[in-house]
Amino acid sequence: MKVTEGAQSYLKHLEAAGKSPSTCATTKRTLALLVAHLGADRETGEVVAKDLDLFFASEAATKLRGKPRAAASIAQLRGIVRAALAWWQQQSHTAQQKAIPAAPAPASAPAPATKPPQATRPSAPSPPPALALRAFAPARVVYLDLTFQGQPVRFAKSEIDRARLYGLRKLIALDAQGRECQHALLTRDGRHVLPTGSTADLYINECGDAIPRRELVAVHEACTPLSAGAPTVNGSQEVVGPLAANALLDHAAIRVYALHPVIVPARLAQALGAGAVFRVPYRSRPGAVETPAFLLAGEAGAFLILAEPHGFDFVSPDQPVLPVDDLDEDDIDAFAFPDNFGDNNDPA
Amino acid sequence: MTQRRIWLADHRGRNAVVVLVPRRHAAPRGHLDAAGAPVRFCRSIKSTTETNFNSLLRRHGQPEPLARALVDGNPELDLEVVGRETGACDRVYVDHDGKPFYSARVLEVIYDRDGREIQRRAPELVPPNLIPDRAPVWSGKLLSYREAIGRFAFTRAYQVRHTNALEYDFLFGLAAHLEQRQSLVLVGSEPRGIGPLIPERNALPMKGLLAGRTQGKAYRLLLFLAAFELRKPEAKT
Repeated sequence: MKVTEGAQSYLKHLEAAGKSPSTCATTKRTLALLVAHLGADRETGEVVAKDLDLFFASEAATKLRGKPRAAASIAQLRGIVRAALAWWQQQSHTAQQKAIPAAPAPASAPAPATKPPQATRPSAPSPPPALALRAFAPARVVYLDLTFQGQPVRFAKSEIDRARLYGLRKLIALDAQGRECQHALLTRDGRHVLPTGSTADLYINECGDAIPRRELVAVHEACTPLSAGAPTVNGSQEVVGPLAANALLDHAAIRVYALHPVIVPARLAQALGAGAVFRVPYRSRPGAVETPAFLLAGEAGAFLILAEPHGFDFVSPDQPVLPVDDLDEDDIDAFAFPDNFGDNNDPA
Repeated sequence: MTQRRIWLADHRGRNAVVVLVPRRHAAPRGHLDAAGAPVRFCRSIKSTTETNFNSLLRRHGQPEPLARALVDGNPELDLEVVGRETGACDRVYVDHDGKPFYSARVLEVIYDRDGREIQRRAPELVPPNLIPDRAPVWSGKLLSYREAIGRFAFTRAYQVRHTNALEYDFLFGLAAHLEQRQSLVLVGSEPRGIGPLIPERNALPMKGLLAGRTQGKAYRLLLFLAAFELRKPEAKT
């Protein structure tokens, strides 16, 4: 929908909602300024926060006949523009929902039925429900910004895992009085008991000085530095694809996000609805490793799957006998002693 | 130590116990500091059960006296210990006094998907079922690549490999069959072969799917384990 059509549709919507003629007239004048600023051929789905910032700072929005507008007028103008954008987005969202099966909205995302999601600025998260486990409560709405054939794409993402879908079971230890015991580390010399939070993970140099993580340079085993890329989360990444469906079968998922469409071009929505799989450059922090991420839509909505290549190759009949160095994980009790301390995890 | 194995059945009514090879993680990387000197990861001690906040609060009774003690005497710092590397450690339970606890009563706590506790019970030992007591059956449940990746989150991947010529023939045939149909097949427990797989003792039950491809005489047969389905958290199980 172009902004001209969007403005007319919104005015019709206001009239149908019984708004007063003066409200409609003010809205019409304000939207005319916005359309003139954006250009009549601009798609409503392409309007992003930066466009609004430029418009709000423009002379048309801050001055009237060469004189500065009153603060109340500026506030009214901004309110009208935001309300119109929210309505456009709601209309766009409704259209996209017909193409993409509905994805779960983040728990803290605004409910479209009562308060349309704001395309231009994330709304304040609603308070999380009272939960026994903090891990279940999403802290805030996180957006995934992408581009598809040059068009902006935005999803609200929320991580899903087994506990959120099916619940969780865990083992606890109780003392004689029925009080829950905590986990701790015991040093091998038996001198120190270290409860959770009593250790610090550091990188130290040969002198024993701690090195901040931001100063670390990742290197190959041969000490050649790896090229470190910037995180992808701060800028829009171009979606790559569509890919063959079995491209994802060369990887194992390490994290899964449910995506809630906010701004999705029609062509991308159609492709996802038809079963296409896209790859998204994804690096959550500065570093040498990029985690492949795949964008796809299933019956339950759109998802982003962060994955690692499994690296398995073809094996021929004359393959050498397998080395027997694989841990017998049947002897590991996967459930007995949770890894609260993240041992063996090199955080960088 | 032995290797992980699975008892598989194929579309021709044959079955064999074959080896599962876990995926290898990327080669470990090292780090240098800004001056190019090597750095290493270490875990050091910040505090102990005698000097952590809870112990100090117990000792001083109220926050105000504790605050005063912190300002006056740095009781939170044990200079003999702070900054030491922990080295290898054992995991233990500690009681409310911070002492290792050796006779804990273990309970299993069940939470629903909203994080609310719904049940406490004595823990049950759930054995792995990759090698069942009876020969497995071919489930015959084929899922296209697209359907499989749109329904399941494959959180684990293993390569199924042979150790002798008979197993090679079995696995190559299975891989060729799946490649020909461009599908994955459901591998599972229970009489119909569609039940969940439990890869190790007390592990979470997972859906198992086999994917196969061939390249000349070589093959690649992968077992994917899905910890959960791709679906809405709100939907009822």
